[in-house]
Amino acid sequence: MLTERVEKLRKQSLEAIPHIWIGRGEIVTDTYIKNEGKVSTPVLRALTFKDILEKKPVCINDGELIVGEKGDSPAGAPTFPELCCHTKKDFDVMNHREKISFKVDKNAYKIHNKKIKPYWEKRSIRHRILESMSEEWMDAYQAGVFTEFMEQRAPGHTVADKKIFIKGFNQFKSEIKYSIEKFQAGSDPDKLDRIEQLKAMYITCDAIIRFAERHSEKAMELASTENDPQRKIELENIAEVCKHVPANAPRNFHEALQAYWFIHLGVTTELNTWDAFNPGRLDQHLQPFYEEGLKDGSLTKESAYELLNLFWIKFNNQPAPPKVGFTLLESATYTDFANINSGGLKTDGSDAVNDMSYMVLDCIDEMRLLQPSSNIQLSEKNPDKFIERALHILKKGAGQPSIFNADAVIQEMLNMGKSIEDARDGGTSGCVETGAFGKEAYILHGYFNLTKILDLTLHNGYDNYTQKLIGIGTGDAMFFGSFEELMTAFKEQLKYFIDIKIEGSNKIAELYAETMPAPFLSVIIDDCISTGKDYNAGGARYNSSYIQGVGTGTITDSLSSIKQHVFDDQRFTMQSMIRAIDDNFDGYEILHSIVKNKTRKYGNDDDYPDSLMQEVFNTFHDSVNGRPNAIGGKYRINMLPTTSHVYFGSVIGATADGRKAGKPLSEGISPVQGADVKGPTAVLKSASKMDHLKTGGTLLNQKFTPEIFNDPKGITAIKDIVRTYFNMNGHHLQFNVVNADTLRDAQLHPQNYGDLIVRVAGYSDYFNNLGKDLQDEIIERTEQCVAL
Amino acid sequence: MDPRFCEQPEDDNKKGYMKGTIFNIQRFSLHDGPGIRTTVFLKGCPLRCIWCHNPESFDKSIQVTFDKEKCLECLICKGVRDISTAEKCPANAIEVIGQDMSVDELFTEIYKDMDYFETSNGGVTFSGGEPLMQSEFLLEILKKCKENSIHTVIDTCGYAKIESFEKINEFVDLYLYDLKFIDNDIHKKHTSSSNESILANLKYLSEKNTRIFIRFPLIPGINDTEKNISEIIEFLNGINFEQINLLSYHGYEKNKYIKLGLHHKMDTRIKLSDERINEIKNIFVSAGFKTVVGG
Repeated sequence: MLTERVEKLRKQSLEAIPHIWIGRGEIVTDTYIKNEGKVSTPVLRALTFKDILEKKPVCINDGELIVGEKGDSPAGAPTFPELCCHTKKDFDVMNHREKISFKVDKNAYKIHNKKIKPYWEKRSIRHRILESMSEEWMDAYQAGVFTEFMEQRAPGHTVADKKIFIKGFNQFKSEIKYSIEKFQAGSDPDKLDRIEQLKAMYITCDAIIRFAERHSEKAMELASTENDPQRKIELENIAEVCKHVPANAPRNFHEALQAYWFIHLGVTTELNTWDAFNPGRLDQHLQPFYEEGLKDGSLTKESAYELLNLFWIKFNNQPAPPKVGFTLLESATYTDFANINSGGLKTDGSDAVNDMSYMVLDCIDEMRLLQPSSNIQLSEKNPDKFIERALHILKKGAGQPSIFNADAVIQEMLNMGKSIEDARDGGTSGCVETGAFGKEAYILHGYFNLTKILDLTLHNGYDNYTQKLIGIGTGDAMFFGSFEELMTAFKEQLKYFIDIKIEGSNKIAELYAETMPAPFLSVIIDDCISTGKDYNAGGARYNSSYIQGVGTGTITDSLSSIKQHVFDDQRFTMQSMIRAIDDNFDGYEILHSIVKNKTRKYGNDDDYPDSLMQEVFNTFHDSVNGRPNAIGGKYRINMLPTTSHVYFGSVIGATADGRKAGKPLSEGISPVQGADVKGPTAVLKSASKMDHLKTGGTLLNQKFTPEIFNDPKGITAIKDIVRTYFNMNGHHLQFNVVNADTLRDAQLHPQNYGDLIVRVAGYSDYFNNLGKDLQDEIIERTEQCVAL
Repeated sequence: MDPRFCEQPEDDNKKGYMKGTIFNIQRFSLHDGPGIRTTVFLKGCPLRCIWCHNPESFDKSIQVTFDKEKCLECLICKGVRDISTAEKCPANAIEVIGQDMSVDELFTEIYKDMDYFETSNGGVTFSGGEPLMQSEFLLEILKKCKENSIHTVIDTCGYAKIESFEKINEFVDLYLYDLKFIDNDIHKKHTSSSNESILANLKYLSEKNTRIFIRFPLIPGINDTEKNISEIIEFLNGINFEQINLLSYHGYEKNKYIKLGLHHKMDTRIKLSDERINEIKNIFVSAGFKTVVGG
């Protein structure tokens, strides 16, 4: 049950109007004007951080117990002009558009145009990145061969571990001091750089402590004029909490949440880290405080739950910072991808599910907020009750929590050379990305359009979208005499573009390392303090750079189609196939029907296409995995699209699987929409033929109607298919429990919904298998709208 | 001998190659026995129940249907509509109902979900049609499944030679056994066949202490009469079975009849209310039977 306080603040959060808080941009500009060239870069960044936290308005909302906002008030979004500087047009777009808008007030326009933009437009890191990329990189980028995360957001993608729940920043300061003394006494050739870096870290420790103190002062000020005696006590308590954390280690449940929250604000204020930082294994971190609070009587289950609810609201108050240019136009979410983990294993390898795991699930269930996102880490050692509770939440249709295979996630980390303890303390974040929490920089460098590579191969390196020759010559595909010849050419093109991507990514990583250190984040990520190195320069214990493969289903089916119809069955020639896709199948209706209806497709547990998926995956893996990155670590792959499969589809003409020009690609490692017709067990079997353990994450979506989840046998069966998929080393599964609107669309476009299972009467069937009258009846039955 | 009891010739050397006619393999079936199951639908049925929702199972032979709406008039089939042109038809306008599969081929398909069977305590269910109409093939595939520790269920109407049940019985873990009417004249009227062997076979299986779930399809106005229900209860009092499942007629089969060009006699408008289903359930519960609504 949500308390009145929670209901009120939740409502405030949902109704808050996203807007630009221009203060950050202004303070950054002032600090740079005053200090640039006078201090080292790390210290400049630290001073910037300090100035922001000292000058930004302190916001304590009425009734709340966990305090602090990233902007000036709920839903206030800061700008990061040092990374990417908005144009006036960007502001107009976000101010006026109907969806995902950010209001920009007159003052913000004025300050931005007069002060911020003139200083940053030619100095932002985005500007410098785009200036320093090679012609080949720009060609590939513009053609949609890959995207680049860091032209708009700083490398982030790391997650907190337990240290911030057992240490305060006074202790971090001592550790930094000790490290400085160690380098001063030693003869490390980089010792001056390291000492500068450590000094910068030290400044940020004081800054965050001062930031908390300002909240403490504000709370006292509010308490002095507060008439409600109950609220007065609460404000005094907030003042006490903020005086103590994060300077010192939290002493109780409330302080633990507040300490994390200040750190969260620190990390996401310093830079707009991708993907948003989060507390990681929250149930593990909170359980000791919970147990102690119950024991000494300072906490009840109810009061703990209320605090957790209030903590959730803080996340939802922070919309993702708005992007610039085309990315701004395309972005359709306020979500910042903070993704809280529960369950999994303890450091010693035993079952980690505890009281807080269930409380976190209750919180997800009742809060129904877009942020934070949440997942369960499911190990074979975790009880069925845990996943069943998660499935009962999922059946309500909000898509949360997603489910991860904790045992595979750990194995993936071991395969990358991490210690077993670090692996067990890790988990997943962002969408599906595996990481060693508190110890790893696992940086995403961008999506990679695998299907586009096939398109370029079929056109001998020529890109129809930009009408430019951007690839290498691998031969005229019209005259390929065997499927192997095609695969050889594909592999050469792939390698060529991976080389371009990696060269660019290395340059970008170097730019960040040199010009955009993150001293605050470095304080809380091992082993930046002991090595005196910045998070952005390889200071973390583990440094992984990821390239994300997109379009698994579409490329597999396209290859399968060519192999089957052109080479195996010889129903038509390469010339016909290429001409047909170039003409978007206009005038090739019969050929189009054949490739659409007769191709053996991925997702049906058929080795013919599935082995091609393996070949593409292995080729992609082998051309990326293990190559050195710019920060002392290695490149890795994961297989996820977020929403890039839509963009990537828009830059590719028709494909040999029958997909028309410009249409979205398949998403994650899921089959092409509607191509899988043998049910979920077959899909999971096909997907498991990919070697998930060689990745840092894969994304698989499954869509069910609510009926199957409402059947007691259905929940058990879904639990069983999840367990089985995980036995086969599958990394992740998420469920769409669809509503009537989707089913209506399914009626209009059945070709997109071949995999949709519905519960009919005493049996289940594919939606497409049913007559229209029955479909109508089911649509009426399933009118369960979900409001988020 | 009744021609509908037809059997394939036996040849021990070629059992793996022995072919059966299958019209559907449904993976992730949740209501044809315990756990996650793969349900194999064998083609051919000795009964012609007027409410049957699988009319494509009536005829044991492979059938070819043609959907004019889908046809592109590409003439690849040259107007001949058979199995080989169906394979080539770009638009799937020519469709084949049923395929001949060897024991080994079918087993390969069943085995694909072995991991799911193990996690969920599921397995394979042979349904139809009437699976015992292909009893030699059924015996071989059942043996193969048991050799590989797969849980086996037979979904049967019970209309078969008793020898067929004798042969397969040791390889069957559970029967889903249909009972429709006790009165033979009424049975004949609605299913075109006598129920003598059905009742006799059930008695036989009961005496053999096999696991049986009785399935009673509730067809409104046809077999949901007080008389029929009390006769069924009386008969079941002499039978060892674990539970009875009440399967409510849903009336969704009509389109299939139209597609196959078959006459559809049922009035799909009459539906049993939840209250009535519950009433019937209570009658069975009062008789001391474990009663489940649905599969």
